Amino acid sequence: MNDAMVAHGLTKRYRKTVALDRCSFAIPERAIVALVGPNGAGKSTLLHCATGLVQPTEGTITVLGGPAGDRTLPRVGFVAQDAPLYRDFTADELLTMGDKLNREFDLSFARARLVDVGIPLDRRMDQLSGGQRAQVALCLALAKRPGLLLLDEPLASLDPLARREFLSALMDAVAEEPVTVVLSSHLIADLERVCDHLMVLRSGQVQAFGATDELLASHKLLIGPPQRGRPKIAGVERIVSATKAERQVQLLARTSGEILDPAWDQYNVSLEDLVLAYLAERAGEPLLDLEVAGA
Amino acid sequence: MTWLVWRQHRKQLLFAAASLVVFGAFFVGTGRPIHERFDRAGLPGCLPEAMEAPVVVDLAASVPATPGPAPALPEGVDKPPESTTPALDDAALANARCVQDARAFFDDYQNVIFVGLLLLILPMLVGMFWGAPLIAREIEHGTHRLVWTQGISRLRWATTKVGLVSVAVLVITAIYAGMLTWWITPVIQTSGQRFSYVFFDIHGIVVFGYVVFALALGVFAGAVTGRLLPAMATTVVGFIGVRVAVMLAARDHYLPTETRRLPELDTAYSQMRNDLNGDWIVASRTAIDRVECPAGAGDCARQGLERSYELLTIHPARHFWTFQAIETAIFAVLAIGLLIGAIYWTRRRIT
Repeated sequence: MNDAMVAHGLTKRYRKTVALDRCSFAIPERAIVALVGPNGAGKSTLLHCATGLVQPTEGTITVLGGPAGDRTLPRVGFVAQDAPLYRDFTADELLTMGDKLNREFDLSFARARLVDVGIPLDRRMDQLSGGQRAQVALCLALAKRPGLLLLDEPLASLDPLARREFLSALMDAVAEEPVTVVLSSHLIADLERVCDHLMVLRSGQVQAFGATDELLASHKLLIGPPQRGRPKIAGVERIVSATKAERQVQLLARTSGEILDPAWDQYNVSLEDLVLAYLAERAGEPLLDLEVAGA
Repeated sequence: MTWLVWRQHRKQLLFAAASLVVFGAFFVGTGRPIHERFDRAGLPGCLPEAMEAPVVVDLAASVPATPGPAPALPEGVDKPPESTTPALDDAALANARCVQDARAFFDDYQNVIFVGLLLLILPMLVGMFWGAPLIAREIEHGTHRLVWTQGISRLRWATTKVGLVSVAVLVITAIYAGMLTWWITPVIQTSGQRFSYVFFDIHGIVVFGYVVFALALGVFAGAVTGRLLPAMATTVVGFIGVRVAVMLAARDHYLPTETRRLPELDTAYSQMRNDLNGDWIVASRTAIDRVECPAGAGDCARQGLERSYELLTIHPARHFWTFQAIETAIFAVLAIGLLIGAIYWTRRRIT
């Protein structure tokens, strides 16, 4: 199986800030990836690199087997943050634009799709709601028949009902297609239902990446007695986060095998716990030592 | 892509077409009386020859010279010198009349200079309202992320957009400049000031140079700043700055000046310099020739040892189109540089 998007040491530096810091990953074909991270984590920059909108400072990124940019762009569907559309265009004019600017654009599919989601073709964009505009933008991207679909914060400006409609429309559309999808969001809750892969991005670095079921299987919540120093637990590969409660310590840990130490109770984690643990982690080091030392 | 450019700019095109109609109505409405008067005065026929006369008789002042009190004669001379006044020949008289008519005509219509001042800023408006928004508005609205991620390259997007808009602007300019040149030619011909800062700058081919430059400046500023208002402001400041700098500092040096010696003034008739030929007079001074009298010619020494004449430093009128071509070329080169810069910047722009 080929990979739909591969990054090696992908780095993007702006004048003073580092937006992406040596990111390396390989997204398999047909994955639906939730790209999660706080604002400013580099999610948009990563997606922009994949479309060729941004040139990386260092490292490489390939999509669909070719370098990101003009050559692969015809097969990449992209909806930028806030779904920018020409405000004075009607829906039909936007589809015409898509038809003129893309060699393989499925105009009849796009028209039928807009009618399906209840958007009149002669309506101008500035007369549509945010949810409807997001649908038009999605439709425009889908009609390219992309092999890779990149959606930057597609849900951010939508109300809960519109979020659900958008996601179900998206899932219907990609269910039968050989397409890889990357959706970014600063909340995992939005995407938990639809994604099968998770990438956590923080400060421009990939904190965790993998299939969600594997990630869930390999992370445990461990509850045990307070102690000095960093706990050494057999089977724990890395302590992602640690919090001290009344008379116990809670660890969210990545495991490399069975944990047999009877001092620690272990629980399964939710995707949301997992994401929060990776995002809460400060500078890569858990706060455990400090907190326990004070106890 | 052509469709998209048309769709995005059709309103501006419509506005430009409406403006052309308004300008056309104005030019035809006010231009016809001007041309009628110009024809009626017989100026089209007589001007070509009259313009070339370096000095003409001042009809209003001098014909025939009224006899004043006899000048005090130098000692030892018993009678004034013989009048050497030659009869005015028909050609000189016709030229003088023609020049007089031309001046009267220009006096009546020189107010068009004020319209001309307005026309000076027209190219700048093209830069502000066509050039600056071209890329800046896309970036300001975020739609560059929409259009740059379709199936065509950013380079093609930029070149098509800039190219088509430039062609449209050139066509509009051609129509505009044609109408304007027809309208203003009588006034310029009778002014003798085709090199003047207003007349040189509002007609002829330089208009194309200015318009393309303003457009390119707007596009470039928009591509670099990515914001509409700063781009418009840059266009205004840059356009005025470069135009004034070229006008005041460079234009004078396009070709070396020539020196022209006017015939010595004839004392019999009141004469005046004829500026109608349209030379650009950079400097003028009165020079004096000392006449070397042959040895022993006493009369010579007494009568007129000195002959005064006017010496002009000029750019001759025949260089007008060379000057226009040079100025147009300067602005065209600047424009091409700016457009290439804008496209380059667009290609590697950080979004």
